[in-house]
Amino acid sequence: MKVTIRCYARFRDAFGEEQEIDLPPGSTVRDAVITLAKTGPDAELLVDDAQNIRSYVMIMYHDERISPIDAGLITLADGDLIILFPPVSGG
Amino acid sequence: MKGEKPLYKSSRFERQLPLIGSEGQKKLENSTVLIAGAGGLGSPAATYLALAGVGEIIIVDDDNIQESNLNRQFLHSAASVGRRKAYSAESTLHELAPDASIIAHPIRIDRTSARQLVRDADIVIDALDNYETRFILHDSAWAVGIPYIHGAIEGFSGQLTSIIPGKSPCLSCLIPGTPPGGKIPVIGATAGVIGSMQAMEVIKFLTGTGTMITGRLLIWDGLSGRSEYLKIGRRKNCHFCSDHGE
Repeated sequence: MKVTIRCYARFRDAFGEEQEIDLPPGSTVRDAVITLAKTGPDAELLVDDAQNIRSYVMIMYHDERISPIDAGLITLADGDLIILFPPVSGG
Repeated sequence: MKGEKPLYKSSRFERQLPLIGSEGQKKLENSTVLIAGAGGLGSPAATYLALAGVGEIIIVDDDNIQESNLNRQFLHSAASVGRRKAYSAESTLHELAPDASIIAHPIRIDRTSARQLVRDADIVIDALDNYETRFILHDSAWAVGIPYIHGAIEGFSGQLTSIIPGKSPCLSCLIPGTPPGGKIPVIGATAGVIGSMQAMEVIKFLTGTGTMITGRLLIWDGLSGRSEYLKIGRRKNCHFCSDHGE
């Protein structure tokens, strides 16, 4: 199945504005983020060494915010959109 | 405003009185806004609030102006490099809005100063550049029950939400962790967009018009022209909310 991931701010700089990724059926939001992380040289921006999504990653799925801890519990469907945003800090 | 006797001798506010009425204008005049940071976000926020007729602006920043600030911090001029940002902001705002009371504090925001600063304010604008200070100021604003208008920028992107104690999730619910810091690149216009929206949130709150961006985080990207709203609820096990009985 195909899932689109849209990135903002420094995630966009690292992984592109939007990527369509191929995932096996039954994949979760966490699987999608890990797959995206592998497409760029800055994987550690999104996941740690144990492939856990970093706590600061804001994930939006179906207009709801998903906690990185719960991302492995949410199963994706073909055509889904996931939005990733890092909190920005400048003023 | 047909048939209404003008309250103001000058025509300074005649283009906004049809929108907020003389009652709204009076509310702005009787309000005090604390602006934490006289930098990229503080410049548009303070300027538009002073021009709108806010009666008192308290502006806090302990930095001195550097040349590298000048791509976005238009409260300060090239001739002001080296000067305290708070005082430079005070001078510029006085020139723009001579009737406004501008109080400049060139001090660091810590737990003690934050408690004193929020005491005199009706609302706070977070125009800061780091989360450590943001959490200190947010916690003080929450403790006295005044709104905290959060904004932040990086590159071509920005975020904004209005935190209203007792009605919305707190800053800790919104930001459980922050990415690694460092010197952040930014286009001045990004600060202009988010800082102006912070001023708009304050005007809406003080005049009781419109709908605040509360319980949702605006994510704005200037490069693609996209924006999203991220719904934010109270986070399970949020240490701040549970400590404050929310």
